[in-house]
Amino acid sequence: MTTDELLQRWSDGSITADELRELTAKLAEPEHQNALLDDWLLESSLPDRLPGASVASLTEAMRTTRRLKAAELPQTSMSARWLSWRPLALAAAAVVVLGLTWWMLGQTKDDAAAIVTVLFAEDCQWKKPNVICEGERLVPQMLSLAKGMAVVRFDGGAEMLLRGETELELQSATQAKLLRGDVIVRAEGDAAGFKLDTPSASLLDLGTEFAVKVNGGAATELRVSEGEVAYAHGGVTKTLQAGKAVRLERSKAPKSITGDAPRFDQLVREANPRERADLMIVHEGFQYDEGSYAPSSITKGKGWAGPWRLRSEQEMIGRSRPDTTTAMRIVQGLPILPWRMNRGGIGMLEMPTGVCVRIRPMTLPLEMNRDGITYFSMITQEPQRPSPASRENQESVRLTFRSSADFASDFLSFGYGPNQKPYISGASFGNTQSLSPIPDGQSLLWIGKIIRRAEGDDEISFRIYGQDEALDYAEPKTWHVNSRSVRMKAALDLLVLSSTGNAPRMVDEIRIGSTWRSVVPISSLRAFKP
Amino acid sequence: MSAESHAIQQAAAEFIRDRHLLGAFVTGLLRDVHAAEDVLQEVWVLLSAELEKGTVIQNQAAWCRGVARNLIRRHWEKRQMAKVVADSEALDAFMNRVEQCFAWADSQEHFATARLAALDECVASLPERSRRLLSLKYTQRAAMERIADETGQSFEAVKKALIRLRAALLECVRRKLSQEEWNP
Repeated sequence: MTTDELLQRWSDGSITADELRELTAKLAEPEHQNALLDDWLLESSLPDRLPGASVASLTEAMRTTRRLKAAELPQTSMSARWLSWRPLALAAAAVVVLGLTWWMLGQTKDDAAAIVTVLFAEDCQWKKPNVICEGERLVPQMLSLAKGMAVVRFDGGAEMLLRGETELELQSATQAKLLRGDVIVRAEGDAAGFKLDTPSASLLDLGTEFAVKVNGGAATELRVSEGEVAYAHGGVTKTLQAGKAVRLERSKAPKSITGDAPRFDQLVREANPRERADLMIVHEGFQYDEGSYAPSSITKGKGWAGPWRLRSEQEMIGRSRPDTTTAMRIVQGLPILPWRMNRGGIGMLEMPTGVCVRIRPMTLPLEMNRDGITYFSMITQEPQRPSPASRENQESVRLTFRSSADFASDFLSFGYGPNQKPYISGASFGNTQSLSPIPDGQSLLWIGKIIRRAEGDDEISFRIYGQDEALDYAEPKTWHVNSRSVRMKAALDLLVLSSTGNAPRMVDEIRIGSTWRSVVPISSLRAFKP
Repeated sequence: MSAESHAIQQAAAEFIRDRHLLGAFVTGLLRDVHAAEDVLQEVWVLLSAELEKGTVIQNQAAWCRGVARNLIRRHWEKRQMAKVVADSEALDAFMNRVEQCFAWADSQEHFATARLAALDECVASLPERSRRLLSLKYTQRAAMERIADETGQSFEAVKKALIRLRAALLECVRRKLSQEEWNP
C-alpha cells in the first residue's frame, strides 16, 4: 500500500494495527515524512485558505480560551489573568463586563455569521460586487475599496481604518488579511490580539495602534504608533515598539524605515463626520406652541402617513387600560437638553400620569422581511421622579413598532420598566433585558438599531445614554441590550408611544433613519468639536 | 511589565508563529477539527499557566506537541475509540515517529509558510466549481450527502472529486516548492 493510501486510511479511521506499523516504518524515510507533513498541513490549513473562510484560527482559539476561562474564574483571579495579557490595563470590573459581553456577542450560529460592523463609509467607491453601507454587518468576505475612507469594527473589538485603494479579506472577528493598500488598526485593551496577515508577514497586535501598507509588489510597511506589535516574517518572530517602522519583503531581511505613522483619530477628524439629516426618514420634534391639542391636529414632522391618534377599540389588546387623557399636551420651558439639536422649537410632548398611549402611522414601514438597517433615537425626561414604591409597581415607558394590518400579533418594543433596566421585546422572541439600570433623574437619549434580514436572523440593539455619556461619530462597541436569533416578517408601519405610572414624562425628537449619523445629535460629539 | 507577562507575550508570538505546524499535528492525529480546536485551546491554557508559574520552557513547539499528545490520548480514551487505542504499542510507535517528523519540520526554515504560500496560489488557480466543492467540505464542513445534494452529483462522484482535488493540490504545492522561488 502507498503512503498516500495509508494516510488516507489513517484519516478515515479505517487503518488496522498492521497497516499502522507499515506506515510507521515508512515514516523513517524523509520522502514519506514529507508526504505526511504535506498531507496534514493541507488538511488543517485548507479551511482558512478558501474564499469566505471563517474557521477559527489559532489566534481566535487563544482568545476564545481567554474568554472561556474568564467566564469560569472568580473575578479577582480572572482580572489578574487578563491584565497579565494587556499592557493597557482596564479596571477589573470593566474587564469582567466587557469580556463576558464580548463572549456573548461573539457567539455565532454558523460560519457565515457577521463579524464586522461598518462604522463610517462616506464618499467611498467600492469595487463590485461590494456595496457597503454604514451600520452594515459583514460576513467573512473580500472588501475592495477603490477610493475614499472607511472605518470598520471587528466583533473582537479592533477598529480598522481603510483609505484609498485597498483589498482586505475579512476572515474572523479577530483576524484579517491585507492584500493591498493602506490601513490603520486600533486594537486596544480588550481588542488586543488582533491578527493581520499580509502577503509577506503576519502581524499580531499586543494592545496598540499601528499602520500597515502593502504595495503592489507585496512588500509590507509596518509603523507602530502606540504599544507594540509582534510580527512573524521569514520564520522569525520579533516585536516592534511604538515610534518604530519596518519594511518586510518576502525572502529579504526586515529593514528599518523612517516616517511617522498616520493616526487613527486624526484621519477620522479630518474626514469630518457630520450629521446626515438627509438620511433621516422620520422626524417628530413636537414643534408647537405650548398647550393642549387634539391628537389629529398634531400633523407636523417628516415621514408620517397621518397625524397622531389614540388606540381604537380593536387595538385595546390584552389587559390594556384606557387612556387617562385624550389630548396631546405640548410643554416648553424645561431644562435645556444636554444634546445640541438642530431643531426648530423647544416644545416637548408631555405623557401625563396614568396611562398614555399615542400612535402615529409612518409612510415607510419597517419591512422586517426585507434586508435593511434602521436606527431610531428619542429623548425622554422625567421632571418629577416617581417614588420607589411606584417604580415597583407600574412605571413604564416604551416606544413600539407595530403593524396596522395586524396590530396584536407582532411588534418590536424598546423601553424600560419599574426596575429602570432597558429592554427589547417582541412577540416572536420574548423580552431581553439589560443588567444595568439607566441613570436616575436625567434626560435620556434612546438609540436603537434594527438590522432586518430577508434570510437569517435580524439583529436588534438598544442603548439609553445618560446626559454625561459621550456620543461618538459612530455606533458604540457595546449596547445595553442585543437581541439576536430574531426572525420577524411583519411590516411595522405604526409608531406607538406609551407611558404608565405616577409621574409625567416628556418625549422629544423622535428620529428614524438609515444610519447612526442620521438620528444621533452629532453636533454634540465631544471628540470632534473644533 | 512583569517577567511572567513578558514571557507570555513572547510565548503568544511564538505560538502564533508555530500555529500551522501545531495545528497540523493535532488535526492530523485527531482527524476531527472540532476536537482539534479544543485541544489547541487547552494547550494554550496549559502553556500560559505554566509560564505564569515562572517555568522556563526551552523548546516551546516540542513542549506544546507533548501536551497535545497527552490531551489527544485522553480524548481517544474518553471517546472509547477502540480501533485507535487497541494496539497501544503500535500507536505509541506511530506517534513517536510523527513527533520526529514535526521536530524535523521545526528545524526547516519557512517550512509551513512556504507551503501555505504555495497552497494559496494553488487554490487560487482552481476553477470556481472546485473551490466551491472544497469550501463546502472544508469551510462549511458540510456532510457528503449535503454536498452531493447541493452540487447535483452522486455521493460517490463527490467523494472521488474531493480525493482528486486534494491530490491535485498536494501535487501543485510540491511542484511549486520545487521551484526556486519557494526555497529562498
